[in-house]
Amino acid sequence: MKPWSALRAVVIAIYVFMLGPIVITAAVSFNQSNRSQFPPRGFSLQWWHRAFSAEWLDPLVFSLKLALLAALISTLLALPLAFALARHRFPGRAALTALTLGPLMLPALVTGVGLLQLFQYAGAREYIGFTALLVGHVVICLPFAVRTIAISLHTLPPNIELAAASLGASRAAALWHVVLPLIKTGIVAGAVFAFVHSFTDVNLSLFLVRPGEQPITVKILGFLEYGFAPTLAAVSVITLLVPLALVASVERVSGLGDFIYAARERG
Amino acid sequence: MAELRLAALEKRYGATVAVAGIDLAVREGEFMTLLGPSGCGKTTTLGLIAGFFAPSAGSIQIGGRPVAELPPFRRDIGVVFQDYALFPHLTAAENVAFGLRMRKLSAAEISTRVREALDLVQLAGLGERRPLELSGGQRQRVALARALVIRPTVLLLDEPLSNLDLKLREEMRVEIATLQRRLGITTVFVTHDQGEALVMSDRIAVMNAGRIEQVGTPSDIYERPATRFVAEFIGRMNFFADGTRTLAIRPERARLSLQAPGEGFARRGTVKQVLYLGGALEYRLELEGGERAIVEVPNDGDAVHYAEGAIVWFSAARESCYEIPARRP
Repeated sequence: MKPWSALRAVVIAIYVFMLGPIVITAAVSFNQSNRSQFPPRGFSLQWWHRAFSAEWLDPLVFSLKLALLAALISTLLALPLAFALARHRFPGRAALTALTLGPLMLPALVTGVGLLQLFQYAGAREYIGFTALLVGHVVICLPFAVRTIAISLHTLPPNIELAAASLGASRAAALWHVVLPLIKTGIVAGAVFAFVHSFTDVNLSLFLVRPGEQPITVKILGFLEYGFAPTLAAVSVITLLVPLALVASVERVSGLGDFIYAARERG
Repeated sequence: MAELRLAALEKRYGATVAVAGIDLAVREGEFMTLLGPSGCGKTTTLGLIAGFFAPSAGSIQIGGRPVAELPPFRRDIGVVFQDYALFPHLTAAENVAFGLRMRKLSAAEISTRVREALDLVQLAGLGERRPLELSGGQRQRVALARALVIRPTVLLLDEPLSNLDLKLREEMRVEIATLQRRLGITTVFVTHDQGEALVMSDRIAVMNAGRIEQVGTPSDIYERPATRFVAEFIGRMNFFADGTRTLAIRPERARLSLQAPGEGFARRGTVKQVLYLGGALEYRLELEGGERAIVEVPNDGDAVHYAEGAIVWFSAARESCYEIPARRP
């Protein structure tokens, strides 16, 4: 029993380190005074009230819109890309792989600076803001979507498309009736990862915002420069709950766990 | 149901020749087996017939109609894959219905034909299960029903028994062969298992290195092999050089005795090893002159047993000696 209790202690410690800050942040948001004290003194919802004002809701909605669109576009782009990379050998395949997966290794900061300069030199300065952010987010979200879809393509049983063809399914019919249903989880997982990645990004977004067009993460960072108010704690909790709720609800419907842990056996 | 005809069929991958010019006519309703070691081109040939890839040269005709240019989904060919390739997201019944749905049949007709097909392979009542909830043998039957329900002109079976355990494999051999004869469907069966080929086939085409070595009935192939490769690949064979001729004697046709036999082929030798096979005893001999030979003696209670080291006569009646034809030019 001894090794197990040691292991349990380690696991508990990890959870405390991971969840502790979140618990503290949540608690701080209920402080009565405007001092960020922990444990909180008194109880008040005034910071939460303030968190739900336009000042904070606008960037939150902006982030949601941005993440939804970025997830949608990168998933749609990832589908044909994943097919090409997973199924075909063609000249330039290595280059395409590097281009697609590159942003995964590159600090988003670098991508952000690069995009900023690109938009400036291209004389497209007026697109800095939502459009530039969307382009940047698609670039950094694409690798996640391509990876998960490619993984689900690799887990397809071999011969399954040939079987569909032998039964009279054209390539389009085989894709629609056999391949897409089987890689559905991968597509959904890719889209969710892309959404979460876009929603939580701050490094890239920092360079591409303009007044009135900034995601919640950048807004939080900007506010932090003036100090920490319990409002920020409330906003942080809200910002945390959005991706959490998304992942939890998708997980219930289609089993993201496959992609977070390991692909389940398919027969 | 139709005749299948392959003429000068070739498949090359760059410099590699997978199928090196095959001529083969499978008669209407015939059970034809492509038998050969792995890499002999049998599965490639099957893929060419199914249309999974295009031949480098040659023609394929089904019922007199050239099909080599057609995509697989227009060929009306049923295929059972080695790994079954069932659709994991569909139930057994939906798997069977797939080909009918692609043919846009009415829902009523689909459900009738799916039920019939599942009955045919004795899976009535399991239609709602998904492939993962079925045993290997049941998956095999679903794959068979799925291929048969579209009433294909030709049925192709790609080593469909190799993933089953021994007992089930032997059962399914007989079952598939019986079903094929009942439906009278032209069938091409690919296997590397000579036992399967001998039991199930009307005729066997033995393949080696992309070519067909011999086409014939199971007894033709076993008793009158056209080449040394066929003789060695199917069953076991003792070979003896006799001048320019090569004599071949099956181990179960050879005899052992202490006295020299009166007539036929005979050589003296020493018993080197005796293997107990249950139903038979296998004697491994070293003959005078250094040749090795194997004799299989049925363990029928009458057999005289010889100890290792015994000096014995290896012999075979004249009709048990087969002369391998000289290599054709």
